[in-house]
Amino acid sequence: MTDRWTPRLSEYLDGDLPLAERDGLEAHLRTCTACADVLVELEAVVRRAGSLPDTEPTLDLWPAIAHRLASGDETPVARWQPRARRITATLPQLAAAAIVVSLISGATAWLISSRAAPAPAPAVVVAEAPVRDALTPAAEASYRAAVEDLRRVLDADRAKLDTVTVRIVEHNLALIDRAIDDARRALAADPSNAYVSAHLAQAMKRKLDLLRRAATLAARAS
Amino acid sequence: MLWTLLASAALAFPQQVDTTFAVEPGTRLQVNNHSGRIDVRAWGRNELRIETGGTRRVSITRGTRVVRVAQIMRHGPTDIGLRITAPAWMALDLTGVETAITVTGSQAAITAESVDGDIVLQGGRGLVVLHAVDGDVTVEGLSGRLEVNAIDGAVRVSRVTGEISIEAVDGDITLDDITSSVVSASTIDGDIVYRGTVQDGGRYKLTSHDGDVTFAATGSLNATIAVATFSGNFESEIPVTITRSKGGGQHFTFVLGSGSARVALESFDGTIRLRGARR
Repeated sequence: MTDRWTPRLSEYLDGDLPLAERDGLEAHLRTCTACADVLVELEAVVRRAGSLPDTEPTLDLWPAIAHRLASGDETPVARWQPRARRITATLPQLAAAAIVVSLISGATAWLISSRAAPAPAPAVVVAEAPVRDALTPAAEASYRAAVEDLRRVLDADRAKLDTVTVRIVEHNLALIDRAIDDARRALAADPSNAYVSAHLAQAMKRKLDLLRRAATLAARAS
Repeated sequence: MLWTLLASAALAFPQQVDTTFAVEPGTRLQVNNHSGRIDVRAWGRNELRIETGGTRRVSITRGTRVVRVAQIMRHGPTDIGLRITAPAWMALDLTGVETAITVTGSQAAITAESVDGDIVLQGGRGLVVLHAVDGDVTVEGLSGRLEVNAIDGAVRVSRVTGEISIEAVDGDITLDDITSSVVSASTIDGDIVYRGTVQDGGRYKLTSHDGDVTFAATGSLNATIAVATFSGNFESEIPVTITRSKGGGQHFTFVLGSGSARVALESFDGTIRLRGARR
């Protein structure tokens, strides 16, 4: 999935690629599905990051998540940086980027509305890493923390939900967990499989999305 | 002039469960019916008709460029069958909990969300965003951009022209008679079927974890097709030459015609089928 052009996609997206290289990359994109797909995903990440509100949540949930994202391990996958909306990402590590963006927006966005003070514009900085490292320990920890945070919020309000709805949500979370487990096992057997890596990331993102949705429904229920 | 009239049906329309009033172009309609039905039909008049099915437990609030209709739940929710006839240009925001929602003939932007109930949309034009937790989603005859998020239920889309994005968790996705340059459909546990045109330069991505994926182009097929699976199969009615293979043959690409469109077909452990071009 990676070739010499893949690491240049971010520069291309930012408009920073020299003209000659840009032409070369565009020619390459016409024949390389993998790079074209990566570019589309990168654009999606940029759009999502750009659409995040220029605010930070005041609730207690945010500092913990922000801290985890910022501290990570020695090679952080992503961190918020103030005053820069530029996205610097290399590689089809979109899996991790998507997870992190989803994590941030997913775990907190629905809680943000009460926030008043202006905050730095978000940026996502994705460290260079091979696809098989899409789920670095830091990303994995952030993901697990986000799941726990959303679970906690959902659990606090779950009594407001109809029991049938709760059962449906839990059933579907179990389906996603099964898909995640399948993908993890597959990735363990074939660590360089880019499809499985992206598939795993998508399944994890889907779980965050569902948890966020359920938590929103529970919070809205009266 | 800003004005707001709170008109509880019980107060302003003491004997009426059927009211019609004029609305200015650009006015939105927001409906929140906790349980029962929301049935919206479009008509050619600049008037809004609201029928509450015999109950007076409905509030109608008319504000600047918005009309809000909501179930009054002072004594808890009850089933209410709301029938609304709205101008075709009127944007609709429809929400419910145990609520079936139907919209027919609208030409405006629509958002509809139900926790427990089916959503059915017939006709329409513009941006349509549908969310269902426990219920099927059916869209027919839309010309616009469609976004669907379904958790537990099938999604059926037919005769739609425009961009389509569908995410489901436990349910099949069926796309039939589609004319679109951008299609994205993803489910965790369900089959996906696409029948429609493949436009030059278009992008089509169908992804399932535990289900089959079938892609059937109508008309010409000029596409670069990427197939990916981990433990599933690939079947094609069309002779293909694999130009690039990765992961032991589980992830490969081939070109049909000019290769202009990008098609990604993925199933973790299901069968991926490519059907021949049909008109």
